[in-house]
Amino acid sequence: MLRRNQKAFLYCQLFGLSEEDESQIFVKFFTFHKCYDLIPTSAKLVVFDTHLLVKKAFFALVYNGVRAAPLWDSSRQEFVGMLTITDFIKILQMYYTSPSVTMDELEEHELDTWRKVLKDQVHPLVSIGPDANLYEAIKTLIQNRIHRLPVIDPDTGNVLYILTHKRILRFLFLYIHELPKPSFTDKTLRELRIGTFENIETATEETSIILALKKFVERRVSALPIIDAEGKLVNIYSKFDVINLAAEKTYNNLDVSLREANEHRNEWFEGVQSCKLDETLFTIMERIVRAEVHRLVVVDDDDKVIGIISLSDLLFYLVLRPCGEDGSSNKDSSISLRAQDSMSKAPSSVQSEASIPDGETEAEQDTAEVNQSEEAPATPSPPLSPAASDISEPQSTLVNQSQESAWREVTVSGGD
Amino acid sequence: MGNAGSNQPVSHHHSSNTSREHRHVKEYPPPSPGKEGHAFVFDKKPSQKLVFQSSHEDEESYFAKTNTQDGEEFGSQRPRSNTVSEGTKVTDSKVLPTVFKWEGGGKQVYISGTFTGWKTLPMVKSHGDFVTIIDLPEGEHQYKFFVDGEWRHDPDIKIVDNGMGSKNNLVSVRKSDFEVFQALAKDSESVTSSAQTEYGQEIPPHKPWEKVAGPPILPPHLLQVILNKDTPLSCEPTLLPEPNHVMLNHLYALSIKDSVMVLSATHRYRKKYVTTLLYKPI
Repeated sequence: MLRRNQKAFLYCQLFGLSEEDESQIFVKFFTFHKCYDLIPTSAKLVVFDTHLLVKKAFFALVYNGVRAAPLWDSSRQEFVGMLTITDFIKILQMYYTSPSVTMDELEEHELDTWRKVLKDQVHPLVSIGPDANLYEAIKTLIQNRIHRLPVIDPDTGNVLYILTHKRILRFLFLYIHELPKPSFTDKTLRELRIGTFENIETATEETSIILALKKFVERRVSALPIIDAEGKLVNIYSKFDVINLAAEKTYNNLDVSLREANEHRNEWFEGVQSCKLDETLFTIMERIVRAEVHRLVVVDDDDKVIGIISLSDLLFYLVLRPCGEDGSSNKDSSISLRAQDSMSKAPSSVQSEASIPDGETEAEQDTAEVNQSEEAPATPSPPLSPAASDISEPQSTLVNQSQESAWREVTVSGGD
Repeated sequence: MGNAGSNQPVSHHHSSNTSREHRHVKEYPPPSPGKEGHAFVFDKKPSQKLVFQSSHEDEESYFAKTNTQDGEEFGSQRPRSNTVSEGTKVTDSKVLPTVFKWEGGGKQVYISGTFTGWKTLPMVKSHGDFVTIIDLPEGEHQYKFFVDGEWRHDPDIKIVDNGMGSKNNLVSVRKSDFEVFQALAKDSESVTSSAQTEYGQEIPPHKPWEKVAGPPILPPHLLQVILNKDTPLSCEPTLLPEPNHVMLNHLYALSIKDSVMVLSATHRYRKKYVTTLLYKPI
């Protein structure tokens, strides 16, 4: 106990905080650490040439167990975007007609073709440098409504890592017990109202996949709580689950129900991660980090769905709000990025502020926007959370597959 | 595979060293330890090479070496396992060690000729063929092989009629052949000239007893590919084992499948390692 207090005190000194500035603790923590600190010691990064066929790219995502990949334009010799599961969802949603009709677009499009189809939605790639601090990274993620933020070495232009909300919050939890504990983390969700509590988009077990995809795209949410006839939470269908259609090559029939779509994960699925209004913020943060999911469904005592709290909501509350970023809109309503969306309609203020990077990827961006507030973004953070409950099954499949064929050395290029 | 392949010859070689060394010590008074060490090193080097090389080349250098060394230095003094001395008078300084080789297979092969009074002498099996070295005086000698109970001659070397309805092989032993530098010059002449004229599309005939010389073995550390290591299921699938420094900046590839090429390289960024996989259609 004493030791913890001492450490907390040290951190206060380090960050230049007086004990009263408790709302700034997490802000200072994230300002102190760089993006570089989050990069794992050794990790792989999958990159796609923009002339690769869209379909093969998705299979490659599945094969490698990753959820996003930077796109390399070899004629421009630079990274131009990111491919994410949201792209897969959009393609399916845009071109699917019936189980008997093959989606030629999915079979024949190159990534480049797909980018042209989306040209109105394609923004320049948003990235960040390894020496930028995590506060900037969080701001970039949230203000651009993206979920994958590539860290690019400014000297070489190489992507070093892909940052996600999940990785950032997990990083905080490595040190959380050494930081002074702000009193607001002991308040309940009922008091704080973080998350989205109105207009929650849900589905039932009978909802078809194609309808769920439509909801993902149109409502810009990343997950749909599945409820029964009484409105009780029974399951969840997230954007990440959609990649399973690629893994099992079952995307030609999207008329099947979500019940069937979720069957593949029954063995591993630990149940929907949820929380209640009377739980404290700290408990909720701990659960979402430990479960490695992107969002918790908020339920009442009867298990009825009343809201959703996502990683984006949490990071916004913990880090951006204390700095007055975009804070105006959440005065009396809940603290939800989604709510802000509806208020300002467009992230215009955000866009201009985005200090660091420049653009983002097409698809990813979408996703990001959607999830930001309420739903936990569909794509639970990619690389970080593979083991997450709703994620775990597909992930493990991926991992297994990826070991099938063997890599071999081709040339000795320049040994050092 | 590479490792196993290179280990074996080494140990094999070692054992043959010791046995030879042993014989050496037995026959001569033990030299001083320091000197012995040196002599050992010198003596062994060439034979180590011998073991590693592909058999065809080996044999050439093996015989060339034997001729010079044995002829000039040890020749008559040190009996060797593959030297038959019974039927040979070693006293005459004009005798020249001559190599005979039978490449026609068989289980037991003997040689017999005018130089033994047509008495058969066993040949020593070496790799896939049989060899022996016999000290012969200058001049022409006829000989024949006795293979598994059957008299045979080697159709690829000089042949004469023996007047008994069959044929003998013929060897001409000339002192001038043992002038090392002349012989070497002559050898290399024929090698270069034949090399220049004989390029073609024909696959050289396969000799079952010869080891096929493949491409050089990959340095063993490059066989360690972190992308091929199993990732524990509990980990993020993007995490890899920490690479060894020798793996950095090397290019790795997957076999091209579905006209997609996948290349990978591991780079260091400060204290972190990034292994990038590039998917590119071809």
